Amino acid sequence: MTRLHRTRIASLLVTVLGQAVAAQAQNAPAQPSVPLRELSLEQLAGLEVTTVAKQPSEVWRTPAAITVLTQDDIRRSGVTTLPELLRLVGGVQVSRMDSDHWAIGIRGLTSSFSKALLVLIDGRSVYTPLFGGVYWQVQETQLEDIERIEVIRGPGGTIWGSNAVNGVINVITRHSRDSAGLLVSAGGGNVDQGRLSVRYGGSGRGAMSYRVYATGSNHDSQYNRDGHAYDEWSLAQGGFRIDVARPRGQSLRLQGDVYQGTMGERVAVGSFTPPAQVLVEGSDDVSGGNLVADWERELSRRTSLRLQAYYDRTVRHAVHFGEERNTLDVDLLLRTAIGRRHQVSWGAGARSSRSDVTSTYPTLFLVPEDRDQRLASVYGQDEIAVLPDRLFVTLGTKLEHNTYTGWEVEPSARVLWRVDRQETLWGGVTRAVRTPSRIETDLRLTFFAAPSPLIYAQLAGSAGFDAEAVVGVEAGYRRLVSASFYVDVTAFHNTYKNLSSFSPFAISVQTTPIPHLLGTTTYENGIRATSDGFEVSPDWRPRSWARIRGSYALLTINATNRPGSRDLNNVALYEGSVPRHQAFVQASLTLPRHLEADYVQRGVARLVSHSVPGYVTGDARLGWEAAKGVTLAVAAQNLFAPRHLEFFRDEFPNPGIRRSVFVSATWRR
Amino acid sequence: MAQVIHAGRRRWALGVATAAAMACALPAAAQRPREYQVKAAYLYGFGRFVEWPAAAPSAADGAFVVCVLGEDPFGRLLDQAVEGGVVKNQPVSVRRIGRAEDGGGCDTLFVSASEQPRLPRILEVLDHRPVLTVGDSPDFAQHGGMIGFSVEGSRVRFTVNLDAAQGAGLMLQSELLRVAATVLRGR
Repeated sequence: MTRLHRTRIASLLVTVLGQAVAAQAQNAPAQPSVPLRELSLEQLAGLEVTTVAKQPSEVWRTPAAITVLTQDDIRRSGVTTLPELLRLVGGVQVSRMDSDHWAIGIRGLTSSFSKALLVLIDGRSVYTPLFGGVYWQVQETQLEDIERIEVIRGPGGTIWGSNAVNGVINVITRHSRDSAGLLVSAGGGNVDQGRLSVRYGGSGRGAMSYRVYATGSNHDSQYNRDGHAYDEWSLAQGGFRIDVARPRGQSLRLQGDVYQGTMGERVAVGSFTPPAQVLVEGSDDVSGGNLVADWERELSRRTSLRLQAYYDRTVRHAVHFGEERNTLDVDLLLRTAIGRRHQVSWGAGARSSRSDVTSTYPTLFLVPEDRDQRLASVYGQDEIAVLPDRLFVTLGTKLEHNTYTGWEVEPSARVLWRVDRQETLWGGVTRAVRTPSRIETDLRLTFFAAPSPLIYAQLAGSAGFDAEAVVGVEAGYRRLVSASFYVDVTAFHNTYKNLSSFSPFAISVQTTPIPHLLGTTTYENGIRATSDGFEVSPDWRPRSWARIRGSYALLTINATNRPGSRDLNNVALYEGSVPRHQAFVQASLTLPRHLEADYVQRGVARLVSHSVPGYVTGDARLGWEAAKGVTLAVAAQNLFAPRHLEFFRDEFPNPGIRRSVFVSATWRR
Repeated sequence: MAQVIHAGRRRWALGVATAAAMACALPAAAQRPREYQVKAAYLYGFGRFVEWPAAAPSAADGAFVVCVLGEDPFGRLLDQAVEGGVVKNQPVSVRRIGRAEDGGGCDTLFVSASEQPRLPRILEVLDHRPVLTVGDSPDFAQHGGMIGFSVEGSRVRFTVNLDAAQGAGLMLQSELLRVAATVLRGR
């Protein structure tokens, strides 16, 4: 009852706020004082504009389910971390487990590891082949300098390679030309306690531009019912980017980051001395850095070459294990137009990712301790304009060789039909794979099962673990219904095979370090599944200063054991750790007196597997450009309840995700 | 259970109603300029950074003429932008034309995105004529137009095809080239 009451108050507040601002708007002058034509070209180029509901042309021409979050969307979201931003992309499941862990999924396969999503920051993969997934907490790129985030739902193996099973998230930072000047941003709140960020950008001689930045943040724990506030975390990061443009279409980009932080952690670890299982709490020390070089050159009017290389280092000394990983990656891409109808691209790539693991507990280790996970690939694709400007067919494949399963083929065939300038239909069939992670091949995890007789269970990696594979069939429709109303609809049917499962237990008698019975289960590929669903994303801009957009996503998953496999637990997890329904509505208003107001209402259905209840909540932000270059903002998340659950932890009570408020000031010059 | 569902629905209803009320109740008063306001300002501004040859149309009729070819995306915005303006010591006027052949009398010609299918023919008609062609369709400059608009993020940028401009005897000043997102030139 109280909760409902509060909800009403919150909604009422928003309504009153809206009306108050509306009243102000009627008195405000509508036009800027200086006519635009008096501005220099440079000033014009720097102006941010409101565009009609038209999507960028690349989106119109992409035969895939793509959503782009712009810098505008990022600023107006009011959130301070990358995973929280993804809540504003329809069809993406963002389930916060605690303050520093997120389970993120697109179209299913969501787990505490975001195994089925490939995430790249400026072309650098941040997907770790240790467990197959992303350490979301350490991907703190400075939000003010992100140009856009492209989220592609559906298999993307042909272009992006392995692990782009259910989607690809591309974070693209601004060209340093567009981040000139000084920016200082500071903020604080009850959950994101403090954040300070400084950037300076400028240009040197000729067509060289650069920026340097440093950012640090400190985050409080979420609500822990048993009083163990284990999940506080903090991170400091700094970096640079240099862009050089040369004649004849040459350009060079050089960028790098370093970071260091501590992440609160709480895990259950088996022990051969009493008690047989301990909950370990403490801080993971994390650090790392990367260096990326990217060189592009037009070889002729019709051919361009792109070469990218990067080095990435991650170090994690967690409370229960440690890993140092050094990755080197080189990619070459050639694009050439052949005749009037063919846009051919082909490329090759190689990667070496060396992992050295140290163990802290005799119940958790990897065999072997060190491993180099190598990758080599070739890729070719032809975009054929069957009818110029009308009908496009894209055929391509990637051939990738990995250390575990040898060659993997990831082909795709896609069709795009531009019915007219306002309407596009597309469809596609794609195969993608997820290659084994070190956990699935090398892990030895022993945990306590029963006291008398003393039984332990061991989860073991298997050298025979195969790649998981998906074949996705998709179709989509985009329409600019009117100059201000745009709608994007996609539907999909995915068929998965070789999904990871646990084998039946094999019982053995062990005498070291203490006498006990050991039931061993190994990773195998015993589960098949299908998923079906659709996503609808309307975007309406009734006025140049008002935008309402939203999304609804439906998802159903049916998983079964392959003959010989009897892993019902994982079947239930595949089917039940995703919400059947997800939706949000966002209203964005650009108001007079340099005010902008945003409100997001979002809802996620329950997760059946662990009885995590569904929830509906709201986020709001009010921003005010108080003086030229000075912006003040207040943002609140999870307005409707003091806390709610979003995902599950097996070993201890679920942390509740708290209502949060964040106040910030940004100064640019 | 029923009560919970009911509460959930009510929240949605409230949220959606609030959003709709916020969006519809307010009068038009944008803080940010619209995309085509900025493009109109560019069309006016380009004139200051381009030198036309002596034989150009503006020399003949005493006015600086900005033309729009195809579906007009500006509405009144272009007329408002140039009203009372002076370029090359001449008053600026706007003319809307339906065919590229009528473009000979223009100093700056904006080719609307609606003309994309006919682009090769339009550029052929205007080839080597002293008309600054500015286009709205993707890759306009790559296809042989002189200046192509693009929207990058929330900013309006442009690409310059220097060969096309020089081929028509137009001199583009360095400020224009410096601000351009990309300059395409001889290879």
